[in-house]
Amino acid sequence: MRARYPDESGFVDAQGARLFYEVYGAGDPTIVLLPSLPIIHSRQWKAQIPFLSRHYRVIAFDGRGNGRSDRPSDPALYADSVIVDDIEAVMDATDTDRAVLVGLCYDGVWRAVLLATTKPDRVLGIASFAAGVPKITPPLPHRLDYSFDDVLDTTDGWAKVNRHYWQRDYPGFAQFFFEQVTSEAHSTKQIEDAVEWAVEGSVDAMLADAAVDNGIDKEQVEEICRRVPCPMLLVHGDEDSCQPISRSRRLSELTGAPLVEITGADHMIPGRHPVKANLLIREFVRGLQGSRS
Amino acid sequence: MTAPAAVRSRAEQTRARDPDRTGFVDGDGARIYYEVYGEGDPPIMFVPPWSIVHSRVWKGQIPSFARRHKVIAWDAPGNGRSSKPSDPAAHHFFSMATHLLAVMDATETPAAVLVGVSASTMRSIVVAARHPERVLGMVLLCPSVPLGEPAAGSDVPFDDPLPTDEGWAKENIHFWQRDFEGYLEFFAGEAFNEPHSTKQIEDLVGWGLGAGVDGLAPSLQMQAPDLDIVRALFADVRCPVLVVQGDRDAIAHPTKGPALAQAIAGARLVEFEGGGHLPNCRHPVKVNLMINDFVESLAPPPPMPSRTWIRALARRRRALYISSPIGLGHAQRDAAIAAELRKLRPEIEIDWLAQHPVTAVLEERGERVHPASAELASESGHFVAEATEHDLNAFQAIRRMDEIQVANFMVFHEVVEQGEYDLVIGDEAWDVDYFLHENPELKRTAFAWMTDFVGWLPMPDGGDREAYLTADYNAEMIEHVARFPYLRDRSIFVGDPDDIVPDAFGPGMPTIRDWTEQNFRFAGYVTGFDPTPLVEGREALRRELGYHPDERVVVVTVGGSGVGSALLRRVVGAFPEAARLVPGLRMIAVAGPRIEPASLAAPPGVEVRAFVPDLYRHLAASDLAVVQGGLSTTMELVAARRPFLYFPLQNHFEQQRHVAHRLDRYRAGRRMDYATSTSETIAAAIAEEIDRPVDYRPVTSDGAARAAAMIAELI
Repeated sequence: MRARYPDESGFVDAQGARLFYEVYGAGDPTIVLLPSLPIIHSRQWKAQIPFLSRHYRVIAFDGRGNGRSDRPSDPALYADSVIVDDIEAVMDATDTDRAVLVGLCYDGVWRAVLLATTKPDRVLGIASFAAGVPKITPPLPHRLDYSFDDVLDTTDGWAKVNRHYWQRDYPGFAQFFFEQVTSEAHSTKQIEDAVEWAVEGSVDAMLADAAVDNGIDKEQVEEICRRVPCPMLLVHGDEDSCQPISRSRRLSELTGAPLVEITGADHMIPGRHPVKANLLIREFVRGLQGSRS
Repeated sequence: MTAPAAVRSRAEQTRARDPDRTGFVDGDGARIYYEVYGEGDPPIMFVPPWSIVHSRVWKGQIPSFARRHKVIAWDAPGNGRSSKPSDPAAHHFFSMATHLLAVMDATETPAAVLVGVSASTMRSIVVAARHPERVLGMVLLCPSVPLGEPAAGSDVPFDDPLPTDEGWAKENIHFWQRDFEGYLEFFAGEAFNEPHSTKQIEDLVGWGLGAGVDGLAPSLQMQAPDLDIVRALFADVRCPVLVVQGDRDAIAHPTKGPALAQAIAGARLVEFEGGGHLPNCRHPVKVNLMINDFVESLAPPPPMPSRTWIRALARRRRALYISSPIGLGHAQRDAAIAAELRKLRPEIEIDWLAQHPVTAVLEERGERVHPASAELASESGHFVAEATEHDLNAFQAIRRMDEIQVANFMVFHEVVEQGEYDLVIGDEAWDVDYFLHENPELKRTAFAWMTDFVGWLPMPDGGDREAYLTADYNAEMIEHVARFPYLRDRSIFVGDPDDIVPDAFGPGMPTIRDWTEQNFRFAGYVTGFDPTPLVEGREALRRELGYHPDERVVVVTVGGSGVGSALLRRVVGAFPEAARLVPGLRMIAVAGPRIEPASLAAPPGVEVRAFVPDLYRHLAASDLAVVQGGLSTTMELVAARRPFLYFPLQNHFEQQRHVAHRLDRYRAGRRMDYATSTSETIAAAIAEEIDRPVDYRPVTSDGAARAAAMIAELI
């Protein structure tokens, strides 16, 4: 049972994949909730959609590789440029000229930044949770402990982030990963949800996505961040186990965007701290409206 | 019931904020007095309404807005310090607009937000329509405009003799000449038709008397405005406009606000349900917040700031402790309660919102005083200003502190808005308790309310009027608590049920004791220190303080209050006579932080000290103390088991009634009457009491711990 069902849903043909999208509400502006693909699907925004759609038009879509979208296994179909085109494809299919983008981690935030810098007239603003803009600060140490491609002699801890382990026990990886990045006490339901969404996806899609090399270095990333033409809001937990908070702090320096630091929060802020996330998104969108009028 | 007539006091009550600059400027046929406060953009001008009042009608607004804005207020012709032209033309709204512009020019204000009420409206609209570059926006409360239904009394001829004095027939020059105050009382009653508006009514009548018949009559002798001209003015207003209309407005008419909001393009309307004609006086907190929102909406919204939000279970416990600044006694007990609270909740962070001299005590103890404390208007200064010799009508002093209470509540509100507090502890924080009940949607935290007395009581000198007023204040408090039982999450009485006076709240009302027992928990008395070592170690304490075994030491003190120099002078004056009666008598007079020692003119032999730290230790070591009738000092003496004389302040209901009742229960102290005491009677009392063995009821020593345990349940 959902709190709110879509007013409209459909599929759009994107590059090498058909994508499923949902449209809720009729307000202004439109907010596009970006997928954390292919690990989970659009239900990741279930705590935002019913609230935001009372005030705004809200679009959510399943990223390629999960949900009701196709699951191609060619790594070329998970390149940044392809995913950025997916956002535009969904906006076109829903007659959305311009929208506020809301994203989480690398999959959501970095693609939002890329769209805003390449197609500035389509992005009104970006609300970023746990920004995963690559390379601008070192990754968390535990992300470097184990090789992804080699056969390891352990499956302990972060050694589960390994292609061989994924092929053996993908649910075990999902359970481990979402426990790690939802480390606040009393998070059982949020962890269960995310694991369920993950196992609905595809380990082949995950492997394809992991094989992508976008070939971009730190200087290029910083250069792109400096060019973000629209307002941004950055939200990051100081106990994030996936993306270090230093990334949002650096992104704030590069963009001038305000950063709301959430003391005691891990990575999955929209799911684990939904009321705060909703109010911050609304505050951000209201600020955009004020500056437009 | 008809309210007994008010007793007028001539002196203006203490302001929460004095102007930084005042001046006069020539307007159109009148000399205009103006005041300028504060700085900051945009400037806000509070435009005077009908000259039945003057610029003090904005006293609930000026101090708060002057904290961040340049604020300008002025008196319209006919009242205040402006001239009283006999020519009605000086009162016409076109002339008023000229006065307004003259004040803007004189105060070097190119443009301002105009805030008006009632008759301020047309004069403001003329300026906005004809000089749009000078008006950034307008807030118009209960507008008096020739739209909607006619205003009350508009069909009553002002100059013709009338066969009746009933109702609005009082708005007539012949009645005015017979009984102008009677008219003012009638008008004020209509303007403030909300229950419990006695202070606002008194203020309005007082301001109206300042105009007098001569000042006010010309304003009702001008021609009615031409409606076509008025409509053209409305059509020319281009600035943002907020109209506020009370639906019980019995002076203008509830239809006027909506009609005006329709007549001005883009104007917004807020309706005040249950509100009368002057919401800025009767509902100042809400009006201030609305004006503030309006002023903020004129500027582009500021960018979202970077900030930190702490998820709920990661937060430290945070409390804001508000310690009443009237007298010093509460600082000791509040610090003791805070110390006990820290034992129960070791990680708690406590910020204090307090004023001098309480802040001095807190800082000395290493407590964290919130920086916004510096923005509070002085309550203790107000009490000093209200006192005459050894006389302080505490009830009237609280009433006459209304402006300070609004200003300080606004500071409090901003502090809790920004401070992420879990709990507010208010020890006799009357402003916080009252305005939270008047604006219940502003509650953001748990609230622990603490007091050592319940019930305003009349003093005989106040007569029927004061009995009426105290009953009205009690009734409002009882209604507040009954209607919003969730506001005070904990009500703590500092004392025991037997400490409560036997009186009723007023005629036909419950007894104070019954109601308090139903609505409060009882912590027992809170001394703020452990008296046992003082009692048991008194000889050692005397040696430490330099009191010789053959000396008989009398300590005279009025505590931390600035009220009491008259008592000190009178008691030290009794020293020669007392020394004759009591061999070896040594008198130490403690002037305290607010009284200049030299001003006491002490006779030879009396030691006068300015500030004595830990005064309670001196009291405990003394042979006799002579004090005022305040609760803290007298109860310190009860706890230390020393004999004492106490002189309650005249007309001070708390000292005369509540404290005296409690001391009687403890079988403690000899009550003295300042008015009839002479050097001889004081010296005789000293001689009689100094060796009297005490059989006081013991004072419990766990009051702070009990109060803290009650508070800890909330955090």
